[in-house]
Amino acid sequence: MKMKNGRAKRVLLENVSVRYGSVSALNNISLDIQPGELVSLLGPSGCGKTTLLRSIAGFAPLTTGEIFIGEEACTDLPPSKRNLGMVFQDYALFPHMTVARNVAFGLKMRRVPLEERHPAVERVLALLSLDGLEERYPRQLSGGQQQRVALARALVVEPGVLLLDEPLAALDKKLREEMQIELRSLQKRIGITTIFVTHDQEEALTLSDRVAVLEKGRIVQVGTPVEVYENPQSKFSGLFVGKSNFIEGKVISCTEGATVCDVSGIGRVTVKSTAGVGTQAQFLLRPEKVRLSREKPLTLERNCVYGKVEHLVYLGMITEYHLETEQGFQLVATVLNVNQSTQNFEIGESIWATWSPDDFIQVFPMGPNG
Amino acid sequence: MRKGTGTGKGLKRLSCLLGGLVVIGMFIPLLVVFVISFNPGNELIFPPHGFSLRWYSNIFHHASFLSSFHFSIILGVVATAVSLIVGLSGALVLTRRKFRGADIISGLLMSPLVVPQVVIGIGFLSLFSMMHVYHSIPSLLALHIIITLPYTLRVLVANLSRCPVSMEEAAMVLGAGKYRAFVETTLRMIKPGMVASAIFAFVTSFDNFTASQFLIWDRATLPIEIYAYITKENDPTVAAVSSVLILMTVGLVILMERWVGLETVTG
Repeated sequence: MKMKNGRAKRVLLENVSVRYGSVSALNNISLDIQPGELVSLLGPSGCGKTTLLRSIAGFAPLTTGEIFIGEEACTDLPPSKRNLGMVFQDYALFPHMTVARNVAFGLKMRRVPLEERHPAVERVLALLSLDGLEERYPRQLSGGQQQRVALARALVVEPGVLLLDEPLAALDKKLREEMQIELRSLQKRIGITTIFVTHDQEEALTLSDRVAVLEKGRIVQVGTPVEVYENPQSKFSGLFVGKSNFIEGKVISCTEGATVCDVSGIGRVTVKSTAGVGTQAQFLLRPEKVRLSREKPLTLERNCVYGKVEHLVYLGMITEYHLETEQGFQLVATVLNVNQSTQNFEIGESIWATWSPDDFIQVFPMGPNG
Repeated sequence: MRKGTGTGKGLKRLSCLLGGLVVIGMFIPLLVVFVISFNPGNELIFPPHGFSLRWYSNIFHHASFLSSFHFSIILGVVATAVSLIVGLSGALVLTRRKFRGADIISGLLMSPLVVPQVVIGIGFLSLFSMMHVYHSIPSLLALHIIITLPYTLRVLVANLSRCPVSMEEAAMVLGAGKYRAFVETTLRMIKPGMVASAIFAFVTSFDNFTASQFLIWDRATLPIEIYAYITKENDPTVAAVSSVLILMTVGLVILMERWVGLETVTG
């Protein structure tokens, strides 16, 4: 069922805006999705990610902008003419049809002859390990099976683009994690362009080639999972993807490409930024980049603070330490519990925390251009 | 503990008894009518002194029974069809669109259930007199559409609220046009509700007496013909007609149960 390379379509969004009356649901969104790519739309509820997916499907008319699927401008095409596959959050299986008839529905609408429908349905059911369930009704299936049937129904018509609206949200955690891996390998095998809506940052990082982070109807960052996690460009992406410490500082000098900031108590930090002298800057530090020790570290290359353990959270694989630093800010650091003798710090103990200045990332309230 | 169980048992027995009494109370009059219809004499006597089908054959000697039966059937079918279409459109708007005043509109459409039939009848009478319409067919049709609407609307709203819009959208993404998507998914799923509300609407129209009697000018419906007959004659023909109607209604209910199950009606 490997698709011919020509089948996977590029999706191009140009300055897409959707407004309902005076409410702006999507604000000037541009995004270029390559053929065969899996892009996640990530954000909290109400950020516009579902509206964006629905506008690609043709259910949310654009106020301004253009949508191209492949070479075709389809801004004004109805959903039925866009040749898409879509999996809905509630799967939207037809309860009055068997699995086989659900899956064959798209073929029937495309007037595929009856004798060709059956083998196509069989193939896609086998691909999703659903063989043997042809004559069941949706209500007789488990959540995971229903999810696969929805996927099979979307894929059987060999769509140019697959749209997934939080398809795993209704599954329990273990099944969801299994399905994430399965979905990703299936998507790679078929090579279909896929747009995946999720509010689960871990899911977005696991599945995607690229992640688009949305906030209030805007895309605040697009990048690979590594880029988005390691180099969040806005406070929002840092806050929404992974856990972060945010620390304030003041820019005291600025040379080309390097800015020296004075961060209260930590001292002078060199970061890549172009912020003006005298402005307040905000920095992000991932908890796992922080190293903890009882002895004062001798290295000068690392930033160093001294603080008291206020609180600790044991999470099995890692332990999270919440420090109140001498400088008066909160710092969260995680330690991987490599073995049982991994040093344990006690609540109330004062310890040293260090990190590399490279991990100190300047973030902006609304992205670098905001 | 034991005492509690005893009280529970007592309550259960009492409710069984009450339930039984209600059922008996509902069925005894029907049974009496049914038995009386086989009376050989020309009086409405219970128990009858023998067995005869002469009153059944007598129905066919009264052209007014046959023509009013015919009229009631046509009226019921047309009123039901219109009521189904209007009810479906109304239910779609009420379940799919969120707008201000939806509750008020829904309340207005349901009001024929609570407004006394006499008031509705007089209202229609004054309205049609004002418009100088003195014909039974248009005025009864309008009346019957209005009084059956609460039934079709109620059942279809209950059915539609269980059909997520995403199902139609899924069909559309798969290549169905807007209308086709509706027919293939939502309409299929509410089919039992459609059948049930059609039967409800038909029975409501066919049975209506109180409001309809105000609009009888040139044609009468069967219930009104029966009433007119009983005011003049005192023979068991009306019992025979009533028995036929009872059998018909029972038949419809059985059909409904067979086709769609009664639970789709209650929503």
